[in-house]
Amino acid sequence: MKFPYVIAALFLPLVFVSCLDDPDCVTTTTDFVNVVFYETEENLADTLFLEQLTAQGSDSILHYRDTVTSVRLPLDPRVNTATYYFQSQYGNDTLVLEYQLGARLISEDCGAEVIFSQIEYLTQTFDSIIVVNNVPVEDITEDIRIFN
Amino acid sequence: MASAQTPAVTLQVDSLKWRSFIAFNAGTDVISAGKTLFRDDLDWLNFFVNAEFHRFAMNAEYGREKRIYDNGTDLYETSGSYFRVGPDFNFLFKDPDHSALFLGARYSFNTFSDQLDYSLNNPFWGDQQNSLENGSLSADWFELVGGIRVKLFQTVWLGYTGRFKFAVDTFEDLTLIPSYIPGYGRADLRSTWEFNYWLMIRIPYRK
Repeated sequence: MKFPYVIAALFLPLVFVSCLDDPDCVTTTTDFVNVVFYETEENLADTLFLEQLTAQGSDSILHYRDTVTSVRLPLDPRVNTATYYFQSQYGNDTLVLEYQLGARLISEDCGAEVIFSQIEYLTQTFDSIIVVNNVPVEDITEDIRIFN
Repeated sequence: MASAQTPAVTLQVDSLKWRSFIAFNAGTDVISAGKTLFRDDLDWLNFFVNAEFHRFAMNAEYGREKRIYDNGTDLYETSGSYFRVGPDFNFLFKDPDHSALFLGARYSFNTFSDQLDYSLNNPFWGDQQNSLENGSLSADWFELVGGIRVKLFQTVWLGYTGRFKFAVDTFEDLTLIPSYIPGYGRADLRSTWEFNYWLMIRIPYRK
């Protein structure tokens, strides 16, 4: 091989070495589930008057004297279950969700994220419940249907 | 009689020439070694040996890689070692200097472990530190490689390899999902690129 071509060819990769990409910080997963309420008889969207909605393990109150058609339930990233207490015009109800927890580092700049999947209910005291989506992501607005 | 036998002998020699052993090459990647020298968060070395035949070379590569990502609140550490084996085809097999312009393939496999210490800043559940680790994982993938190899002086040669890596295992069912797989790169990508810039010695078996 001719020497100038050799030099050019040998230093070509140095151009590419500095072009390694870093991941962006966009994540599509969420740390909550969207619960939508339905009437059992009509199978239509229901409106609930929530006297109070709380979760075991947190001092915060999710809803207090709210009229809602849906709620967002935050998933506990410390353990693989979360228990929620509903007080509404239908009485006191409990919902226990179980899920798989995963974590990964997105990048040094973006930090770590917790990923929830395989969501299902362990116990519940409503008329019935259906998990329609078991991996919470931003584009989906309905993960669980609760029938009263 | 003698002239009638000559073509048959020539044909036999040509058919054997492709597999005739020419040289032994061994080298190290100066890019990874250089980065290791200048960065505290990286320990990355690559080595290769190959047996060079007339048109082909059979390669065996070994590497080890340890990376640390620390942003002050989250600390991720991954380390492991990997092997690559596979052939190259040399398009410059007629070059009198034995320079090489090659394409090849590799089967690569590794063992590695990783650990993530992270903090949760959740307004509803509160703040918390957590730590997860994978003790011993293994992954494998395939690579398409291409590059050149030219003589610098005497037995010292330079060259580079560009490699397109694909078909790596996914680890999304694990509690700690690996972010970086030693030897492969970012675990969230289904294909990655890498360049190695080799400084090597060539020990010829025949001129």
